Amino acid sequence: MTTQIAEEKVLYTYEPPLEGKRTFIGGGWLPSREEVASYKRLSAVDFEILSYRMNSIANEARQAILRVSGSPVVAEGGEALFAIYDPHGFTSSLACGLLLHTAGTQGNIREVLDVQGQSPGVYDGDIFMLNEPSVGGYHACDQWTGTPIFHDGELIAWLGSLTHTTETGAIEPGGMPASARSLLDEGYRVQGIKVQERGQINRAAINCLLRSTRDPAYYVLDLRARIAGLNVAKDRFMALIKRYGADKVKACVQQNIDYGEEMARAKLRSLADGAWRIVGYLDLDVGEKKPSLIKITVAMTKKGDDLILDFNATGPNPNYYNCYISGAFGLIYVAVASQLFWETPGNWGYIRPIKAYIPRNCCLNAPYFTPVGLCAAFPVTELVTGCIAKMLYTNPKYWPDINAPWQRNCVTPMYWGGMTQHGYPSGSIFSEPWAAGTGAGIDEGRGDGCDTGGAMMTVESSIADVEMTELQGPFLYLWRREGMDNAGAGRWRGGASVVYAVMPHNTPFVTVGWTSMGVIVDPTQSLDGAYPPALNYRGAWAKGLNLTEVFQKGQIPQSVEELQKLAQQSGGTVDIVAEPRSAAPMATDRDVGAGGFGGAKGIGDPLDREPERVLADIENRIFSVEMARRVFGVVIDLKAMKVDLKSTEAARNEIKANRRKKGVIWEGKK
Amino acid sequence: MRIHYYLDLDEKTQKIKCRKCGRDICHGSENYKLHVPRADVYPDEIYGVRPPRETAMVIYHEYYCPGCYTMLDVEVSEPDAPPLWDIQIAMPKHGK
Repeated sequence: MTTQIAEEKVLYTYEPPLEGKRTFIGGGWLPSREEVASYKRLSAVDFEILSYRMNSIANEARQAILRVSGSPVVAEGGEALFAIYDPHGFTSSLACGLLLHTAGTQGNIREVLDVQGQSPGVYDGDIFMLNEPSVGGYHACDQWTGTPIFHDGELIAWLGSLTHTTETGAIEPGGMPASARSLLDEGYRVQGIKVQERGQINRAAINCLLRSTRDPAYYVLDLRARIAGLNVAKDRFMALIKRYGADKVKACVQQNIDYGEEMARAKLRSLADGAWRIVGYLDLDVGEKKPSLIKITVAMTKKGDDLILDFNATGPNPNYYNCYISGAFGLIYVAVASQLFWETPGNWGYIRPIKAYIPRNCCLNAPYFTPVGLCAAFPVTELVTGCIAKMLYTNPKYWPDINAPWQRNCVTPMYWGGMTQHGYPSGSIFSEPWAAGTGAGIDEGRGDGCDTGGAMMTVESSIADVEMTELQGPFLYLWRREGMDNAGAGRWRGGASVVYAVMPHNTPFVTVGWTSMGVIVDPTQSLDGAYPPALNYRGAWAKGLNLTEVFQKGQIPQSVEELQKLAQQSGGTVDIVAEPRSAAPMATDRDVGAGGFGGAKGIGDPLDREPERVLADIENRIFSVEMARRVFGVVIDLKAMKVDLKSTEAARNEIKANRRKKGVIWEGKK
Repeated sequence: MRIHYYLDLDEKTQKIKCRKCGRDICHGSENYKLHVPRADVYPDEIYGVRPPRETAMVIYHEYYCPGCYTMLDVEVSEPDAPPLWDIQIAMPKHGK
């Protein structure tokens, strides 16, 4: 059994050959890769101490980023990363909220060395900045700063920090513009300028950035946060060298990577060989055209201690649902890091056993200048997660780890820009995507998914409560809650995701846009007999409502239906839209934007879910009585709020009888 | 060897079998979905926010165990899509 890879596909996972020679890069010598690979290995005790210290340094630096940045995306969403890399840019230690960028940021260092290594050179005290999606990130919001570590005239490591900085000066405010039709529409892209040169801040370079964004206040906080992280880590790293000596530190940087690879390969060897396949779909900008399918398939082949991911995909999309190949690999990494190698130190080592083949010029490997603002293909993470879950069944040791894919397309549907109630310009995304459901497990593991548990790409994410969010931006919430009937129904159900509605408040001017995703087709499936979760909710755009009068009566609309009723009674309109909506001005206290997400995937036949669990779901407003009856075959005595066991048995028998009636062996296309 | 929530690969007989009812489904080197009943279901037949039938671009292919009619998979794909070989365990070669 082998996977036949088409020749026109690009192999992403690779390491350049070891040959090469030492190169002088201005501030010192860059050792060859062969030289770096030959550093003497540490004793087990030294390695344990030093690798733990490096991990602590990375974590402390990331905490510094989170505490300095005031951006909700960073401070609450956790979208910040800190990494220690080897001299050639391979990740060695990682503190990570954003699994998405773990491998991708490596491209930034190679770009700096290639482009600036000889002229103007790389020096101690330089801090480089990049946010070029085709080089090292995912979209222009992914902003990375990095600094080299020299010792005795030799480059021995890199430190790097990344934040999702929302305002990029794009064609619309908020960083992920729905109307982008080119990378050029998605804002400024910095190609490795030195924001600090040999220890001196370069104010001219920083002004280039601040004067390119609508939100210089949050922007500069994020930049300073990343620099703070670098400064904290550099102090600690130099202290480590002083205490243990440069040779041991250099060796540990390499040994971390090798250890990660050894652990990853050992785990792969403990699983059965085989191939697992899954299919997913992307929405696209329908506009006035009839929508068509953007399809992604993945075949994951595991043989010995190698893992091959073979993708087929169509596209690119006419809009921003694309990524460059480094972004596609980041999406793969989210699944691999969180589902397969979660106990392995996060670094380049556990990427080494993985080979990913991706066709050219599709939505996962888009040609240059294709817009990529909204991260094409979150289904990639879900598809790979599904394949990994299927593979983990083959060793009972890993049954507790089996996890269905999380909430679909965990990206924000709404973004805003304008003047805050505090009198300064700002723009951002709404933080509800971090309140997504997580995937179901099985009997030996977690069972049901976690409701509003987090975003898969940022596993430790959280969101501020409504009051804090209202304090930060010029919006009031009409509702934010777990959505009913949106979780994947199964023996074990997926986690429910959030629904919400906002209205501008106390602002002279604000625009809101909506990106839309997963509202037209089911992007991916649940596992092993569970139904897919509900689609993401279509956008509801209410205009000209007389909300002030409603509030004066002490009432707050609680659903799109209530907004529609209000519009009928006192004027105004409510549009329900499936397509992305470019940023448009909204009126204070009269307009409302509402949306929400489908939940996460389930596992197993819904008819196997214990009726008492379904009753608890109803009591917790996760599923409705109607859903219980029609999908789970569970009938509730509403007066007693108890399961009607006799009717439940009859309902389940009826569903099974219907299956017997409908099901036929597939005999080829009709 | 377990290969699915409801399926085992019996390493002696090399058959894929249902964990609930014990029904043998097919040889381990085959796509089990070619040997079990499948029903084509429009998403809007299932309660919840689903694509309406008129505009649905994909449908649900439900696969059932032929013994106990437990639902083994709900595959989301185009209406005429053949059963996806989603689980293909490498089998030992014959004679070894």
